[in-house]
Amino acid sequence: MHFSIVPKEFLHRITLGKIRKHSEDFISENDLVKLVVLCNLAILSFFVSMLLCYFLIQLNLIYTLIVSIAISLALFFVFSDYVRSGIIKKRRLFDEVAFLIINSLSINMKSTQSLPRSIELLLKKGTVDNFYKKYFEDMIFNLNIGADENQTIDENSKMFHNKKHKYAFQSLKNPDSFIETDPDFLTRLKKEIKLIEDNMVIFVAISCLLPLVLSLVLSLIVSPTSPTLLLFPLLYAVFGTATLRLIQNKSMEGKNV
Amino acid sequence: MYKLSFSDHILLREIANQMEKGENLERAMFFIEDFPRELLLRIQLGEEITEIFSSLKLDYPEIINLFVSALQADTQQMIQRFKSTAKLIRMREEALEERNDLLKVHKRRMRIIRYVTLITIAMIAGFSPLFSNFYSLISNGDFSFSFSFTIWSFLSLSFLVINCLNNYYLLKMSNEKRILFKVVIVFILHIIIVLVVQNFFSSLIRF
Repeated sequence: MHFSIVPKEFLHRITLGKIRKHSEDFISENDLVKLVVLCNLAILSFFVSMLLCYFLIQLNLIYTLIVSIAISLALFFVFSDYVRSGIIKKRRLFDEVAFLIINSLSINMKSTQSLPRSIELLLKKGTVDNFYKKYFEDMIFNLNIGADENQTIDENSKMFHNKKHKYAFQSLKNPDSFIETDPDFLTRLKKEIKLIEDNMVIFVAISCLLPLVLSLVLSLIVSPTSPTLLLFPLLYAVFGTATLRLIQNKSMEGKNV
Repeated sequence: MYKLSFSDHILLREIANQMEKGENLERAMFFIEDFPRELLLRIQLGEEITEIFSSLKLDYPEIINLFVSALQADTQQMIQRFKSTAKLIRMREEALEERNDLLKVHKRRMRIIRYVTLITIAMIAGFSPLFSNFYSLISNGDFSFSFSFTIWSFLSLSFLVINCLNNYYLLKMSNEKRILFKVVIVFILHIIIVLVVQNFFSSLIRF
């Protein structure tokens, strides 16, 4: 429906990267549409800035090309990273309440003795978030059209990252599948704090010194009317986003251990 | 939506305690201190208990699901499960609080860095007309005292973009909420600082 100029597979690989595997179930249709729109907008902005730079500011052709490419790339990278971190945030929020979902499912299981019925109860009051509501609705649908229960549970347990949650979900039919303790959560929190501390030092060093020093030096070396000056913030946009993304990837790996 | 004055695990534990004493779920609500009176009234009027729970604003709305099927199941085991879930939530909340305390220090540092860089970059952008004269001094060897004050030069535009981006990254690093709103504030602040500095600068040059 949404026409993408760049092949969608390639677009998703660039923008989503590692989180395609990491939080597959949390990438909603809406996010994908946003990415396609962003990509199309970036291409549109490339042509618009070509026109602007060439006819309005009257740069020469090479400069026009370089500036337009930088503008569209920066626009695309910064905003697609915004979408990406939204997905990561959803994943994190889900991880935090996963134990409650499993616990209520297991209580429901206990009282109803039927998997589809207990998932229905889970969805009943609209207390679950929209993005995993759909996930469980699909599960009920599959169960209702006669899919094998054990197989469905096995397949859907992929959504839980924490191994303990995963096993608990897999043994839902077992009456003891209740999560009583959660020591992983504490260790993960500690790890997260350490990562934030590490990353902050790196990022502050890169982010605060680089733009200041380079823009000062550049403005002394380069004429204030030269379009090279325009290139710098755009490169900074791409570079800064890439650094943040690297840091995010690193912290995701940390969580998987 | 009603907000409770205590945290979720206390609600869960209280309900479990009351049910242990032999009360049912509805009656248990009446024994909880500080439970919103309007909701109690609604229970008295015969509204379904799950409706009552969904009009509570909870930190973990998922605990409502725990109650949905509680009425049908074996009570004793249910109470045990409520209690252990309450304990889990309590431990989590304690851990999260500890983390937030630690992060608060970092967040404050980040905020200071953010403001300092915001003001520095904006002030440099305000003084940017000087750079063109320095540039002409370096390239031609003469320093002219005529300054052109324009906000829409390439240089000041790039400073504006850098300032917004830098703040956006720092906000993202410290996991702040409402990032876009704060970036817009930075945008406005930047322009104000640039205008003030340029005004000050141009009045200084006249003398």
